[in-house]
Amino acid sequence: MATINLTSTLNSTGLTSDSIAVNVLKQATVTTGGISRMSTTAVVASKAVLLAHASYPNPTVTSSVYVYIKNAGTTTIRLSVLGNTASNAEDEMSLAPGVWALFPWASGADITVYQTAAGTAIIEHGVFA
Amino acid sequence: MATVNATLTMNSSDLTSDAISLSVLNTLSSATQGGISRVKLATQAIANATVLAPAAKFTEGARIWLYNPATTASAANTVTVSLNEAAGTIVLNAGDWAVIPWSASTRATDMNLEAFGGSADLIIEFGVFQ
Repeated sequence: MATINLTSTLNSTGLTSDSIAVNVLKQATVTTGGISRMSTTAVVASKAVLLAHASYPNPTVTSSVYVYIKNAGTTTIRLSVLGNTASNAEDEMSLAPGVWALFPWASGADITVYQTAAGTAIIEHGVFA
Repeated sequence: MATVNATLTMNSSDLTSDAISLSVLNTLSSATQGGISRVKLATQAIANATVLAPAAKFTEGARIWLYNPATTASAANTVTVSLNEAAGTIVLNAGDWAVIPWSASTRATDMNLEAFGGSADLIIEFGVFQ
């Protein structure tokens, strides 16, 4: 068993009359996880599986499965947490270069990925459960 | 026009032999939409789930922030979030949060951001920024 601390900080002045200053910590107990990078040449017609759901546990009410993904490349990548592999733009997430995501994954389907232009995408990711 | 800064800080000293310590900042420039709100979720199933944000009002790059403020872990306190108006793709247990760069209306088929609770009147805190 290990502990991982996940802190979300949001700040904005000028968007609303009340400045936004959010700081939320989730402290979770996990046994698996780590940060890795992979590359892919996948495009919309040949989507790649980034995370295969069968390789990870399902969440319970006391143990979430946290997914971290960052686009470490130079081309926008799009993700489907529904495992879409069809040659279409039915994706739920879009990460421009440098953009990150973190979410508790239902892990009922693969996470698939493609880039919006030909090349080699570099994706940093981690699954903590 | 405003700037929204979203930072993830992740630390673990005992998960791997190499301690994890990362901090990543995303800056959303020229934001004109967004804010933090709490709402009660109307249903305990995807049918007639609460629409947190309509896809038609946002495009690729919009940033979703989600937080389940419940403090006791239980099925009743679990919030399920859908990005396709059907399957629950994000499951927020008590205290969980998420940041999701949304495809919104850039997706081939517009799909709203929706949520439902594990019990009546469960609360979610959220914001969608663009």
